[in-house]
Amino acid sequence: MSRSRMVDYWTRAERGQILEEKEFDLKIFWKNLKRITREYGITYDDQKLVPQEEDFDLLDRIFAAGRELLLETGVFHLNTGRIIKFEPWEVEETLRLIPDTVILGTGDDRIEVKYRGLKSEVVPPVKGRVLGPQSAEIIEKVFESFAKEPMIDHFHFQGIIDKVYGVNILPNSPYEMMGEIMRTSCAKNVLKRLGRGGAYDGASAPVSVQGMMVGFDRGWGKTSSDGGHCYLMPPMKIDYNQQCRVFFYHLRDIKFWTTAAVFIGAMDGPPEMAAVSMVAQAIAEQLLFKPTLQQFAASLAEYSSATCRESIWAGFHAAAAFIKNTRCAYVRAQPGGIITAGLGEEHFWEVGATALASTVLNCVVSAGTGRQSSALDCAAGISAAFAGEVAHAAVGLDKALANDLVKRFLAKYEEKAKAKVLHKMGRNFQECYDLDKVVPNAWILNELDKVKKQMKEMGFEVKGTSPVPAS
Amino acid sequence: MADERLLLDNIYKAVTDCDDVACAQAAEEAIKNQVAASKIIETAVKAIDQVGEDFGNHKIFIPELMLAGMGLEKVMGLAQKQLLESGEVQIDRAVILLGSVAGDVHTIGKDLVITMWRAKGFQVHDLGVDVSRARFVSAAQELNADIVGLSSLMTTTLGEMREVIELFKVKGLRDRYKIIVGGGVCTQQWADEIGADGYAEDAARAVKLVESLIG
Repeated sequence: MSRSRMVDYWTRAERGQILEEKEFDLKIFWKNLKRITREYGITYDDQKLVPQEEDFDLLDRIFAAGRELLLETGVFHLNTGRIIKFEPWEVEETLRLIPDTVILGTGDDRIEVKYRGLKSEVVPPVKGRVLGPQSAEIIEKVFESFAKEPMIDHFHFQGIIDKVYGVNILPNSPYEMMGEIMRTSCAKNVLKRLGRGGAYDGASAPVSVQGMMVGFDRGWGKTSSDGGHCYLMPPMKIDYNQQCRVFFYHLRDIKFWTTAAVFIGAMDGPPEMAAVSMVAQAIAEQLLFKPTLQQFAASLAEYSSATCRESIWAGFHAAAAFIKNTRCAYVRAQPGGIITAGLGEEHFWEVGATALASTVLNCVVSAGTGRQSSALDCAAGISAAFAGEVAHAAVGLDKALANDLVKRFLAKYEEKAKAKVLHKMGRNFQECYDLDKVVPNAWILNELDKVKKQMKEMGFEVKGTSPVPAS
Repeated sequence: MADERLLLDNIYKAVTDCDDVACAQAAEEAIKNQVAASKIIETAVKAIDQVGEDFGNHKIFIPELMLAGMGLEKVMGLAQKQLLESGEVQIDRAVILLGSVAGDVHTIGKDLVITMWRAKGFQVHDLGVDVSRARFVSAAQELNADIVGLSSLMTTTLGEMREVIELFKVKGLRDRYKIIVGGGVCTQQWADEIGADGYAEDAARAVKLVESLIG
């Protein structure tokens, strides 16, 4: 909580205006969001997915609108039923004090992330993310597939083990705590075994605070060089669970992340309103949490896809607006690691689109898990490694060219997304890897090669460091 | 006496404008001017169909759908009261409960389904989030439910659905209610495995599912 008025803001939840949740959602938040987005003239252009220099005025308006939305709306506290409101000077002070350098991990796996604005000059950090349910007998191999990839410089080894001693892991049960011990120790063992013991693991799986805390153990578990998460619940809501997490993270100096998340078509409306909402949430998160890492996540409410046209526009415009108007070093523009398709050709096109857009805007690059992170065993290191390869190829690319390429990559999977069948494409981990050597098999490498060849024909050559196929 | 057509148009406009306050005002005005409750209901249902179409065409979004749903509830409530007082036939609407299972605090999908069910005239009780197994059972009995709906958006809470159904069985109540499931991580396969009476992949299909179960 260093250099923050967080505790003062938290106590406003004990004294602020009382309101019913539905009133807040529909009569305050929604009405303000609709009006402010219109007043600032923010419109969605489905052809301009990657903001360019000529769009910087739009980015400033998105940021200003988000700031105004927060000041007019406040944040609703789910436990006290009261609203936390802020003053303009408090917002200015907090944004001014966001650190412009972030250090993650230790030793050879230490990475230093500096603020660079919107000019692409270096490869951004590359995050590998394991999400969704993972079979207990395969999860270690999944983690290994990520840890073995040099392109990936930090991780989220999430992945939900579903049972302990034959008992379903339910939130707030002791089995959730046991599951967290199993998962965390497995991830740490894998990293140490592969010489990456200092790599940052920002995994955050448990629903309960005690489940989260049990994984932080200086002896065998996560340390202050690792991370966890906290959220505002959409739209613009906080509760004691999140505050307890944040309090613990700051107590232990843990490098935690937060996500400004929206569901386009739901409480946040169309893409232009969703972008404004995300900025408001991000600013609120800086005030209420003071996170190390700031993330944005836009997904369609009707079909959970973070890589569809509307999600890409909203996520990247909100993130770019935030980068342009703050000095925040670590910003991730799309739900890290969540790809709609299972492992295969469509998956790689989705990774390509979002990794390319991230790179030219200096946002963190991320991939790793397919099938909307809700199907069993759909994470693999090759996904995030490819994201890193795309980032290397995209550094310094002209933003107009990047925009054109992103649209061409999108065209490779968009129709399947619109038909709501994209999540059925592709395969799971066991079908894509040699499980003895934990390397990608010929099938998945062939899928990757197909995509790279087509990218090269488009004028975008991704030079691979893909692993040697199993012999 | 005000023109009946105008009064009904006001109700139609209030619903399609997704203005729940105006809905109540328009319905009260119509009843005060002795417009037949059945005509009020017919107009409101036509209006909510238009709202549904606007939602499907992305002209409006979930908050507006919810406001329209709230408005519809107010109109239907006033019209129902009028029907009771006048002795006309009361519309018997199926009773549905819906809640997110214990440990799950997601609301968006659940709220959308509730709104669409109400728009179709079902009597829906929102049990909220993090609903215990016991609460599902007690609420079903208290509210004389026809259908009990369980929502889960997290893999960690999916198993709770099985436990809820098990509790209904243990209490000897399983056959009294139709139990349906849904949510982001739920599948038809899972529904079959745990012995649910139905599964819906999205809100539109949830409406069709309930209509098929009620018959």
